[in-house]
Amino acid sequence: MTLKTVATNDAAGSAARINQSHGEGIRGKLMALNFSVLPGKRRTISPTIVLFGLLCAAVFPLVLRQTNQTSLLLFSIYFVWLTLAQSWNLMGGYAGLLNLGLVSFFALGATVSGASMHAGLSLAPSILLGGLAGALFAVALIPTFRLRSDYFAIATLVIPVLMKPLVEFFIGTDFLVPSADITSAIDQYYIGLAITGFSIFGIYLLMRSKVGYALKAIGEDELASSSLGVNILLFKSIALVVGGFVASIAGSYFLEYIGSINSTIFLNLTYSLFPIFMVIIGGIGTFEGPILGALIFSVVNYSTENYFSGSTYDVLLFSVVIMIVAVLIPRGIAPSARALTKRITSRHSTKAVISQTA
Amino acid sequence: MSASAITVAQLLIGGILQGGFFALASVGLSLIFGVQRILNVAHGAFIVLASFITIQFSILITPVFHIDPLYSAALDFVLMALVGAASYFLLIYKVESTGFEAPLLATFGLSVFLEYVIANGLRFSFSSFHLTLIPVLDPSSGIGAQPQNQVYSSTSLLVGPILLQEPQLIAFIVAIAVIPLMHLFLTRTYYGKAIRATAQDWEAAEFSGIDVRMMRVLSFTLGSGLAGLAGGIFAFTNSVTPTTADTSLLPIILAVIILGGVGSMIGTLMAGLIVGLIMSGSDVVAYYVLTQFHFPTDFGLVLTFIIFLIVLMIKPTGLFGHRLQK
Repeated sequence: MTLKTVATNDAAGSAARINQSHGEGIRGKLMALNFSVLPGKRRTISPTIVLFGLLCAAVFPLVLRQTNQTSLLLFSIYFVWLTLAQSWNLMGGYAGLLNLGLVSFFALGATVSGASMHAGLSLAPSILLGGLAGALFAVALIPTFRLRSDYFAIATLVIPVLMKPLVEFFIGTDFLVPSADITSAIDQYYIGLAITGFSIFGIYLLMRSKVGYALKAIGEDELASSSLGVNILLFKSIALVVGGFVASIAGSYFLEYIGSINSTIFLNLTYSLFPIFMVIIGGIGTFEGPILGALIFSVVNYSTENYFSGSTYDVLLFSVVIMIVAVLIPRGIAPSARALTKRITSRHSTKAVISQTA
Repeated sequence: MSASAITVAQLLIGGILQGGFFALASVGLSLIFGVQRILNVAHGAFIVLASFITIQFSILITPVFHIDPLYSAALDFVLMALVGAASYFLLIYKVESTGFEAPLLATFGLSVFLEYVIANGLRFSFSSFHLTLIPVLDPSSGIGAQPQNQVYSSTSLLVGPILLQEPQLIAFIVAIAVIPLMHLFLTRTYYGKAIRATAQDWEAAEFSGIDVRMMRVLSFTLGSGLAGLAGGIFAFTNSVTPTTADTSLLPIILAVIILGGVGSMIGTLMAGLIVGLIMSGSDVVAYYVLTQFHFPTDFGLVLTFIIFLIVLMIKPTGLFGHRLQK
């Protein structure tokens, strides 16, 4: 084989590779236009790993001794964070809706489910009702899509402040889980695990459906996809409604976890910010991103709680980390790691080609 | 005038005075947002940090050197300009070319960081000093920043039947003085014109020989300094907690800069006064009308933000139609 043919072969190969890597976007746009064509499957083992992790989490309480089961309560809070990160990743990552007021969904879910539990509903319908309230609220927010992305962010930042007096007036100020609805630590753990599992794989399946492909197309080039006939308003609304539903479910579960809340939770920006931080650190708009970010957060939070109990060093640490990530790896850990492995493997294969020809 | 009419007038005038402060607090962010399209979410934290510096000044410096804590507002301006320049070079400089999201999130991180520093780092010296002219921080309260009812000055001016309190009057006068100065700076001086040119079209500005990078640094530093000035004034009129920035200050500031038109100084001043009036006016409405239907009194805030959202939906360029961006 002469050097020249190798070069042309290589050029053709890299052209094919370029086609492949760009094919996602073009195919996504076409998919959004013509849903009858089924997309090819992208090979990735991440969902399998996550499923395995969830199974491990499901087995974990059985391994634990009976006396230790109250310590499960320590873990239940991380289900809330993971679910919130999933929700924000759908809105902010996939649909490009920079929602800075996630807490309004979260707190609305908590307050509505608290009110319905107080009205005599049992736990599961209350949680569901909280989720539905969040979905309805998301529908009410659809007119704000007219706004440019930075003005949308400003509007969502203001909305929780607006929601607090409204909720106080229409629903109530203090919310308490009635004694009939208090569950044991292990039940709570499994409810949280179920909510997390459903949110992860629900959003995963949503992103594998035509909605997901349309959202990916919109995310890549909003103008191009709208000129190809993708209904941007519809798909962004779907993302916001599903995301709002998930975030509100997380809020309802949080009420069950914490026992009682009052309406000042609307002003607690932690529930808006930390999910965003997790998604950004992990990798915005990816499947692995929110899970990775939430895992990192959980480990940091758990260890600071353990070693410096009662402190808020995790807030300090997280704010520093988010600044570092924003400056150094703005795309987040997961995509950067993937790019790195791709670069290493491709360099490896080029070397192999060169050594073969030599 | 009947008694209730006087109360209403009192409330509305108080709203205008408060609106002057809102304008001063927003003008820096309006400048930054107008020139760089960077939404510095840490602006509220800058303001709160500056007001904590002023409170510290009144605790540490005033009793020893007998300097009026009002002068510390100038110190706040310088210090916050330095903080702003530092955060520009360390943080925003690296991410500003990547679009809207990365700087926003970076400044969010900065905001949380500063709030943490305010809540935990600045608390240590509070325990031993009590001699102050302005609100003293009660060290026994958890988050460290509950001003007691000692005020800077309880003097008040009586104009007809209406009472004007001196601290609020001072804040208003500073705001009214500074914002037209900023306007003159932006319209009359070379640097001001260069900043505006950068805001309108940075590529064209670069072609005509303007150091765009320098203008961005300048506007960010100036904007942060103005946040410092506003923070110094804020300590005289309001009670300050580390989370004041996010829960009450930032939403109002955002409302003001949007209503005033991003990057417009005079527009921001007018919008600040309008927001102050709307807030006090809707407080009046909420108090006299809505409470009859058992609405809680803080419906004033709801009305304000509903008006803000409506304006945002209908005319995002602001009430004064001053279009700065491309």
